[in-house]
Order: sequence, then C-alpha cells, then structure tokens
Amino acid sequence: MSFESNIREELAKILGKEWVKDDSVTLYTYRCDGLTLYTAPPMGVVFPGAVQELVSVVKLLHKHKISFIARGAGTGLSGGAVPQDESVIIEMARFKEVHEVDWINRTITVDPGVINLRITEDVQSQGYHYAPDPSSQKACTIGGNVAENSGGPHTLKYGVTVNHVLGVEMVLPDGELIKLGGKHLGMPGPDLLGLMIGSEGTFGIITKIICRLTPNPEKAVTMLGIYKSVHDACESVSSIIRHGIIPAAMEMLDKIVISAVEKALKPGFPLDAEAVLIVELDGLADGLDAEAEIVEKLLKESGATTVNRARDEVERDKIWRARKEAFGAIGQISPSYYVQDGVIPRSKLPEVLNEISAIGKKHGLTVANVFHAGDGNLHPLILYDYENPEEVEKSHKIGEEILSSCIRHGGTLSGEHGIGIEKAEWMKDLYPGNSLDNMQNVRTFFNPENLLNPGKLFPQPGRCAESKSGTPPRNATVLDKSKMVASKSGIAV
Amino acid sequence: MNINFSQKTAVSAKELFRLAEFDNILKCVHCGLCLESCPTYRELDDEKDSPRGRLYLMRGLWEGALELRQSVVEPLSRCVNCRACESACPSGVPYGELLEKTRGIIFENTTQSFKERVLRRLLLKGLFRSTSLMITASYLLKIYATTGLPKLITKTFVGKLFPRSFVFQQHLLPNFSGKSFKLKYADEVISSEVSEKIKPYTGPSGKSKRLKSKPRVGMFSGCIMDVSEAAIHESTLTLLHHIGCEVVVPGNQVCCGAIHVHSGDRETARELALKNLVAFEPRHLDAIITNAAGCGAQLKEYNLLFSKETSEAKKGVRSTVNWQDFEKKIIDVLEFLSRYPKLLEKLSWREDEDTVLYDAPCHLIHAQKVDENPRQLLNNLPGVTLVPLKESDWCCGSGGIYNLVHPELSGAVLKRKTESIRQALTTNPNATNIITGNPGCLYQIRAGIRSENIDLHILHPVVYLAGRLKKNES
Repeated sequence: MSFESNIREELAKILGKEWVKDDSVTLYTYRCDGLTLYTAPPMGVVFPGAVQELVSVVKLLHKHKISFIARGAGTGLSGGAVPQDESVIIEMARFKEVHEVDWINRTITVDPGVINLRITEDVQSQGYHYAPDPSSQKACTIGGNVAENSGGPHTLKYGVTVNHVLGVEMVLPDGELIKLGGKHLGMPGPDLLGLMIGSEGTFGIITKIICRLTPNPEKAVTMLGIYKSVHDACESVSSIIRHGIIPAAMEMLDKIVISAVEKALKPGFPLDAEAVLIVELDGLADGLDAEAEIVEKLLKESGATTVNRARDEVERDKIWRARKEAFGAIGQISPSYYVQDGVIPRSKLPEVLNEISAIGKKHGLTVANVFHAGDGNLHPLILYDYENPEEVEKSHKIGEEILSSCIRHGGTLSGEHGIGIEKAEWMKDLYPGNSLDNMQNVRTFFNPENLLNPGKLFPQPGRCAESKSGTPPRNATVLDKSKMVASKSGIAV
Repeated sequence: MNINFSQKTAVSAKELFRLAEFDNILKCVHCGLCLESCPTYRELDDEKDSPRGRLYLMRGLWEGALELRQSVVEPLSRCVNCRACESACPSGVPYGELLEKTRGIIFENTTQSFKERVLRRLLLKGLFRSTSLMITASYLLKIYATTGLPKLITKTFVGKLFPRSFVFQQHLLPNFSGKSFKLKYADEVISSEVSEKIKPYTGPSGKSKRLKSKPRVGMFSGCIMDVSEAAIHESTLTLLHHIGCEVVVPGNQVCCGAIHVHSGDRETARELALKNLVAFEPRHLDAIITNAAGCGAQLKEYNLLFSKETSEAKKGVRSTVNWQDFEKKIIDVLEFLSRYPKLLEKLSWREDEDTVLYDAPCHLIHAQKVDENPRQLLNNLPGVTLVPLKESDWCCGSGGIYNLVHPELSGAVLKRKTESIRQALTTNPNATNIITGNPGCLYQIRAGIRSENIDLHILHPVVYLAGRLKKNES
C-alpha cells in the first residue's frame, strides 16, 4: 500500500515532495526497528523538519482518520516503531537541534531526534552529563528514550528517564500542541508528564524535551569480579545491597556473553569464568576508596575468585564498551537472538536464573545472560538460527516461559525495552482485574480515536468491541497475530 | 549520476548473491549502533541510507525478497564506503566486503546507461589501467593548470558561467607533475648511506626472508599519485632512506584497483591485483609501503576478490594465489616508521614550536584499523603539537571518485568537515597546517578549504615529517 494520491499531494504541500516517501524500498527498510521478528510496512514515511510542519501533518492525518506513528533511530527492542495497520511513519530524525543549556537551572532543552550520548558530549566539558545511559546511547534518540522511559546501567543509583526529564512539548493526536512541566520543579495536580513518559508513543508526539543535567561524580571506581558460578555472582549483588551500599551500576555477564564480547571487542575478560560482575562506585573522592575496599571484600567473601579494578579511563571504557555492546557482539556467535527484558525482585536472582537455564535446556537452545543485576532487570538472550523454523518456534516458547517465570516470582514484563507489540498480549497476565481497563481509559483521554501508534502497549481486543476508542482508524484491520509470524528475514534482537 | 539500468540476466538476485559467499550478512543483528557513524545517514536522515538499512537491502537481495531494481540500487550507490560503520559495529559485520560484492553483482548483471558505460570505459578500463595514458593526462592537466584557467574559473566571475560542481572540480585538481614516479626510479635498488647497522624489519609475520642488515622495502606508487603531488612520494623515499631502508619501486606496478572495486568492476580489479603481485612478489621485499590509505586498504584485501567457490573462480581466475603472504607485507608508511622510534629519535629534527591539525583518513582508521601509532609518531616530534579535529574519524566525502559521481552529497559531507576545521582553528589560531594520510582526502579537504577561503595548508604527513627534518638532513 502507499499513499492515496490526494493525501500524497497534501503531504507534499506541507513538507515538500522530497520528504514524502512511499516507494517500495523505503517501505521495506521501515518495516521493522531493532526488533525484526515482526515486520509490517508503513503506508508511507514522512520527514517533517519543523514543529509547524509536524502539526500540519498530524492535523491532516487526523482529518483523514489515518493512523500514524513517530519513529526515532529505530533501535527499540519491543517493536514500538513497527507500524501496525499500515500506519504512516513520522520520522523524527530531522529534529536534531540542541536549543539551550541553562547552567543555573541545570537543564538542557533539545529536539527529540537528538542522540542520547550527544547531550552528554555537549555538556561534559562543563562537568555535567545526562544520567540515563541505555546501552544503545550512541544511536538512540532522546525522544525514543522518553517514549520508552529508558534506563541503562547507571539507573541503579541515578534513576530512569522519568527522573531526568523536567518538561516536554508535544503534539496530541489531533494536532494540538501542548506543554507539560518546565524548568521548575514540582507540579500540582496529577503528574501528566509522568504519564506521558513511558507511554510508548501512544499519547502524543514529543517535539521538545527539557532534560535535567547531572554533575559528574568527582571520582569513579570500576571493579570487575570474576566468578566460578553465576550463583556466586548473584550472592555478591545481594551482599552489597544488604550492606547498604548503592553502587552506580552492577552488571553481570555470563560465560556465553563473555565469549562473544571477547571475540568482538577484546576487553580482557577471562574466558574460563562462569560470570563476571561489573561494579561501579562513584561520588566524592573522599571515602570512595574505603567503600571500594569494603565492596572488594564483600565480592571476595561471596565467591569472587579475583577482583580487578580499572586502572585508568581507557580500561574503564573498555569494560563499559564490552557491556554496552554485548547484544551486538552476540552476532559473533549466533545468527539470531531473541532478548527478553523481564524484571524480578533482586532476592530472586539466583532462583530465576536457574529456572531460565533449565527452560533453555528443556527446549534445547542456549540462553545467554547479560543484565542489570543491581535492579533485577534480566536480559536473557535466546540464541537460535532464524533459518530453522523449529528453533524459531522454540525461541518463542522459551521467551514465554521466561516471562511467566518472572511474573510468577513477583516481577514484571519489561525493565526498559517496553511492551510494544511484542508483549502487548502479556499485559493481561500482568494486570488482572480492571487496572488494565483503567490504563486504557487514560490512553483514550490522550488518544481518543487510537490513531496514534495503534496496536501497542495494550492487548488488542476485536476492533468492533473497542467502543472506548471511538471509530477505528480508516486503515485499521483486525490485528491477526497469526499473520505476523516471524518473517523470513526476522532476527529478533 | 544517472543510474538507469536494466537487469541483464534472467537469473534472480537471490541466485547471484548465493554464489558470492555472502553469509556474513547474517552477522548484522539490526541493533542500529552504526547509524550515527554514517555520513550519508546524518545528511539524509533516511533509514535506507544508513548502514543498517543498506545491509537490510543487501539481505533482502540475498534472501530473494528484493530484485535488482533501480530503487534498490540507488541507496547502495549513495554509500561513500568510508566504513566508519565497521568501527561502530559490535557484531563484526564486514560491511565494506558485503557492499563491494553487492556492487560487483550489480555491475555484472545490469546494463548501465550509455553515459555511465562511456564514463566507465574511459576511466576504469582506460585511464586508471594505463600508465602511459595517466602520464599523458597528467601532462595535459599540468598545462591546463599553468594556463591559469582553473584560477580564472574559481577566482573570478567566469566561474558563474559554469555549474557549481565544475567550479569545485577546479579546486579538486591535483598538482600534476606530468611525470611518472615509478618510471623515474624503475627497478633501481635505492640505498642510503646511513652507516649505522639496524635490525632488519621482520614484517608483521615475524619472519624475515633476507638476513641482511638493511630492510628492503617496495614502494607502491598508485595511479594518480604516480603522476601528481610528487612531494609525497619523494618525501616517503627520503624518510625511508633516513631509517636505512633499501627501497625498490617496481616499474611494472599498476593502480591498486580500489576505484574499480568500489564501483563494482571486480574483473578489472582482479587483473590489476595479479599484475601487482607479479610486480612485487619476485623482489624479496620485507614490506610494501603505501602512503595512500585507500590503496593500502585495497592491497590488504585482494584475497576477497578471489574467493574460492564463487562464480568469480569459475571464470578461470587465478584463485590459487596465497594472498596472505602478499597482504601481510602491506603497511602504511606512518605505521612502518612508527616501528623505528629509536632511529627516528636519532635524526636531527627542527625544534621550533608548531601546532598542526590532524584528520584521520577513513581507510586508515576504519578499513586498516591503524590510528594510534601514526598520531603518536607525529605528536612525538620535537616542538610539534598534534590536534586531531573534532570528528577526525569522520569522512570528508572524497570516497575515491564519489565526489565526482555524487557531488551534492559529497559536498554536504565535506561541509561538516570544514566546519570541524573552522572550529579547530578558533581554539588553535596559530595552526597553519592540517595533515591527512590519503591523497583522495587531501584533494577533497584542500578543495573544501580553498572554496571556503580558509587560511590553512594541507599536507600529507610524510611531507610534513620530511619538512621537520633539519635542512642538512633532508
């Protein structure tokens, strides 16, 4: 499908011909984001370059009841930017201006298409950074981060996106431009900004973001504990937390991931270890070494065979690059992988990890683990061969069993990758009773006709039954998941 | 360039790709970490013009989901092939190899427009393949330069009569010498009078075939470089002498073939590869020195042109050559010099203070993965402070003949480079030189600073190095 000619003309009038694309090759490359398991082509892709253009595009699509979806760098892992119902993709990559750095209020105002890492690069000479640091930070956009409420290794101490965004400007699905929050702190009334952050692009399209800047810690100590068993590494995590220490980050990599990152990036992790635990402490220089001594002792007591400390920035960068690019490095050892993002209470780590490994064994596939151990956010990577339909099938089963294990142990579906299309059906299991209905009512308030990013975040009821959402979009079809079988080129990441 | 074409064969794209050892395409997990490293994605903001998007298209062709149509080929031809995405990729996707194989398939299986065919015949099969044509062209262009026409076009109102890309091309013109470097020194063993005994260079392999006191190295002279910017080769020769090398410049060497590989003409590239093998192999060299990052990268990857079970092999191509031995000897001049810190230290260097800007050529840093040693070598020179540009690892838009084929996009990429240069000059106002180790980048950046009237000289690092030697040394 492509644009109807009158729609195409009207879009071209707003944006200029070159920024309205619906040729088959464009549609092909925009049919998936970081999750390639479910592909679906958009009706077309438009590239607005200014807020007014975006507003006009949204008003036009709203008038014609055509559904649409905003997309940043397309690094998301839950299919949040995969168009359902042949929605129109509004590509936000051209919004990449950094507007204002306000040192007194410690804020930076940016366009949504600005890359996460770019913010830190812009302010680091003044001793500041933007705290949420998702592993994809060198490519993902800040707009996508707000939509997904992204985290990252350092959120253990510093919090996630919602703790670092003070205000947004956004376009509602009918084209109205609104502002939520601002440079000031505290807002009376219900926290609409908080609602917006993490709504996975279903409430509105963000056009400007006021981010909080965080002073760089005076000093950081990065340690690497080496373990003979994953269980011991989990014990270390518990032990540190039990002692009242909150490290800036605590990340675990198991043997399989170690072998992949060693192949790709050579950070110098021992290949015979069953697990390594990265522990980073930061803060005032005074006292940090003493705290590091305590942590080192705790790590050793709970089973670390060796504890190494990064001697300089180069060594520290090496460790972090290995952690942050671990997913990609899996490409070195497996043709495809499927990553889950379940969260469990920290105390359940050893138990659930055992269970995950047993689930993998039962189905005959390898499950590798690299995750934010400090906040119990797992990232089991199910390794499979996409050309083997049996393995594709198994990878789905394993994913499902892992998720139900997380829920059973009092955890949740996603720590940071979002629900997207991938886990929408699971929301029923997570929220029994009427809480899910209430959440949908909130979405309906912002997005009454479900024109914006349909098919995401919430399970899809039969369309005609969806009375709360008004008339379905013109291009809506009843979502048929059986048609969304892993496409041949589908590799899940 | 207009790339109207039609597919020549009835064979599907899938079958063509399956023959080309393309399995490495599976290494891409679609994570997108490459996006920000891509100069064309940053300009065009379109997924299909990103490394991930292009790999997805190649994969689509390989899987049979797409056919060789113009709309698929266009984004693939818009890639500069700077390979910065390879440095950014955590999965080890050999992007350059996959793109070049794809372009080979496109080249062999589609019919290009008339204009394109004429251009290719003239340049790829003609000029770049023939030393005598190159010398003639160099001579004519030298005369053209001395007529003052290029200056007239770039400096006066006359330029307004021409398209902008033509005016820019006047800035791009290399300093042609009208003479061939390799023929000047053909087949002599050029030795220096440095009396100190030095350990022979053992080559990256660690094995030395000749146990003489002096390392014997070959110099690769290239095609355009052979007949232009004479100072670069002469300075290379001087520096190699100073560290006591015997230098051989085989007269029968030819163009490296990189330009051919980039545009898909692998057949001509293979022919050139074999000629170079014949030119260098019998000389018992410890190393083959290149001073053009693009040529170095190509020479190091000749084996990829001769993969075993491909249709390429079926055409009777000599695929039995052990390219490893040849490729191991290829080394960039700066990397080579940096292996002899003690010898360099003993030379008498000027000691006056100088701040010099540095830009890393993509085919040195991303394709050859050579970065730190050259920078350190330069920064360690007495009195010299090396200031890498912000984004010094970012493409300048040169890309072999990319700047001629895609002048607009290349110009946009160059603009970002000249912005970095301006920025570096604000913080380092006393810098008078910028250096970069690839002739293509040198021409491109020089054209950029000339057309924007930035007051800066651009030099190849070896020319700068030789200039830092005290007069009696050089």
